[in-house]
Amino acid sequence: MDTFKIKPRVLLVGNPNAGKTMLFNRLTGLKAHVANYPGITVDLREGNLNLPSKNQVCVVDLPGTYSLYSRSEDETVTVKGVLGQLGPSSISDLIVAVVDATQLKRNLYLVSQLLDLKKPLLLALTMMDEVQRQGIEIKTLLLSQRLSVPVVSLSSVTGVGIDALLVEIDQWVKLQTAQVEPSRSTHSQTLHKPSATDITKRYQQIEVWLQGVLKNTIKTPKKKRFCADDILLHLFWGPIFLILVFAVMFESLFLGATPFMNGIENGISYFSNIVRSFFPDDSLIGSLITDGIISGVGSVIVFIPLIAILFLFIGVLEDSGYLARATFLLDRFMSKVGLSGRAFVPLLSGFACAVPAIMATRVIESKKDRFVTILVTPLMSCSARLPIYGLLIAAVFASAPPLWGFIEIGALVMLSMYGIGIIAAFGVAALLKRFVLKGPTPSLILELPPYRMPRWSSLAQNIWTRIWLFLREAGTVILAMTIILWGLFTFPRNETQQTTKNQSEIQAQIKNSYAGQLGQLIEPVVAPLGFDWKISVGILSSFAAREVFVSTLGVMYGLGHSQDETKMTLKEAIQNDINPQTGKPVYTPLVALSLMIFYSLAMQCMSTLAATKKETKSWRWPAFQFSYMTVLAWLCSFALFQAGSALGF
Amino acid sequence: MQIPPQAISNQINILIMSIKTKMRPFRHPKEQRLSDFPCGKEGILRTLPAPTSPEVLRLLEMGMVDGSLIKLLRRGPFGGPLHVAVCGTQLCLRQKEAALFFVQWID
Ligand SMILES: Nc1nc2c(ncn2[C@@H]2O[C@H](COP(=O)(O)OP(=O)(O)OP(=O)(O)O)[C@@H](O)[C@H]2O)c(=O)[nH]1
Ligand SMILES: [Mg+2]
Repeated sequence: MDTFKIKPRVLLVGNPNAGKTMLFNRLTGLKAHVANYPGITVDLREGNLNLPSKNQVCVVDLPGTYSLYSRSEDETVTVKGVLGQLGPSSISDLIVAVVDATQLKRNLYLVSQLLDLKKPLLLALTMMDEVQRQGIEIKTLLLSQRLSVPVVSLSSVTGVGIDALLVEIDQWVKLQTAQVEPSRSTHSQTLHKPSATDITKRYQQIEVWLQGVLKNTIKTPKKKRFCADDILLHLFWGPIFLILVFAVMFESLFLGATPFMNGIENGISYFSNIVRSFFPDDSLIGSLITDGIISGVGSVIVFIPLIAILFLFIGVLEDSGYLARATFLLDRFMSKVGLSGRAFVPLLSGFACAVPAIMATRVIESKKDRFVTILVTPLMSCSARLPIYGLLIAAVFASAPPLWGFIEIGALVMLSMYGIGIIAAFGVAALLKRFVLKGPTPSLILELPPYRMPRWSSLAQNIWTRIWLFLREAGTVILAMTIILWGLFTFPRNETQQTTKNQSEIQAQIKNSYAGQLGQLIEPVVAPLGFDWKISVGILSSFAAREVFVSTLGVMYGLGHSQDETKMTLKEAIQNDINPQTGKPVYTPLVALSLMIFYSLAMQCMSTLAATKKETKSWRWPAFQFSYMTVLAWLCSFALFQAGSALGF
Repeated sequence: MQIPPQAISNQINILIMSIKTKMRPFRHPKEQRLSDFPCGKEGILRTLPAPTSPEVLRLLEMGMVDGSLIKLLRRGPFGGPLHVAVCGTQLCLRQKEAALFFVQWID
């Protein structure tokens, strides 16, 4: 193949939720994020496609748009792509208009604008499996004649029609190689703000195009069927069902994950004991491997089941189409606060990770509203906070009897941590909107996609991707931090070189280590929140990543037990940690709550700050975000701990 | 100075006409703002002559064009957004935007 020639590009352009990304995945074999919600893709993504004729093209998945007159960042990317302003200008582009065949009329509006550009165009009608199920026949040949562009009907789910699409693309590629100059014409006509008459005219044109194209093969007229929205969006039952969904999510997050977590925990400590038996008692290497790496990284890996269940739920919500319904049900709160309706999905993605969530704000039209959303998104409890909640809840609240016999206290505490994050996000957003980024209340214009059955294969794929990301972090950042912390906890070593040390000597050694000294240095700052020097070390170390808190405790308690006793799990070590001054446990329920609140509100994530910097294009906003969140976290923990102590908890 | 009665009546007619066309959506007995339209009813969508707000323009582009059939399916809880079926799709929009559209009853 000629390496000097740049590959021709195929641009996937279409309405939001038309199935562009799914088609892209089909064509390239990649695993880009697909969800049954309009506006999921917010940036372009490229992939390679091998055509039957051995030619290679570059396929570009673009964000969805309803019109070439763009209003938000994601739509601007698409319009630039369509106009050939992305990448080197010598590349020739084929625009594949991805059209949702179940909504031909609305989708053809964008097509009519694309036709005006006079560029190579090809129509791909997706969702043909759904069209057939509805008993509708589409005369693609007729449509193709009327528009004078090739039309291919296909389904990315079943794979029908993909081959025909490849053939069409191939034909265009062959035409390209025959041509010397790529044909380019820049038409800026449709990029102006369209007038109402222009829009109406286009829709009239579409009516003409569609005459006789759609044929209903089912003769009996459709009777009014039962509609899921009648219940799920009901004034009364709708909100009840929404609450129920989230209640089930938290209960299963708590109950469903516990057996798996215990299993992994036991496996790790068993493994650690075996490894330990290979080394002499006072061997530094043995200590590094078992007390350092295995306890540190292992204590984080334990929480994989929690992550898996969280993403299972998010996946089902996204793929079923219920997410858009939740937006509808909760929009009143969003508008009260002054947030755009489109901020719902970024905020919800914040439960997974703030970095993609901040990118997802690109769908918000107004810049100020977008910045408000970016600033508050990290307050949503991301999956990196789950290990901390999980550990503290398991250690402190798990033994409490269930409320009314069926509501686990642990699940309730977990739910309230998420609740605190949500309330804080809304409160801060309202304040920002009022005093800093003032503006009119934005709108909500959202298409409600049809309900679709989640496909388990893609759910499993998605969950696996998440677990893999988590493991990769455990193997890199957390591993590195663990080794550093092990060093900081082990050195300087005590002068007395006894082989067997008793418990108090080991404790003194840890307290005098570099890490211990560091912890005691900042202890005064966090002592009013109820945290001792050990927790201080954890908080400091979690600025690398939040989960490092757990591995720090893992290393500290791993080193902190004397050699002769059997190794405790981290949970047991926390339960048995006694404050030498008071003789009481360090982790009282009040301290645990204060700590969890601190973690739910504090900004301890470098990647999030980097994402904020990237999206706002200034250092001011990430600096502001960092300061307000840290201050807020400190104040809330302070208030809780002081009030709780005063009340005698 | 004598003004011909013909001219006066002409002027009045023009005035009435202009008021009528300006007020048209409010005067028409069978037209109502979309935000006030009853749930579960179908009607013909009427847009203002020259919409300027970007939200309205976006809704027009999404198929809420003058003359199309629209059905108000439901309102969201706590005075929330509206759920409408139009142009073969289902949309939700806030009250504020819905107040900029009119619906003509069909009997
Ligand atoms: N039945 C069926 N469903 C499909 C088909 N293609 C896509 N879908 C579903 O349609 C929904 C949207 O698909 P995406 O590929 O994410 O849509 P998109 O066009 O990339 O959407 P944005 O990124 O939001 O612009 C998902 O729930 C898919 O499962 C198809 O051919 N048949
Ligand atoms: Mg997409």
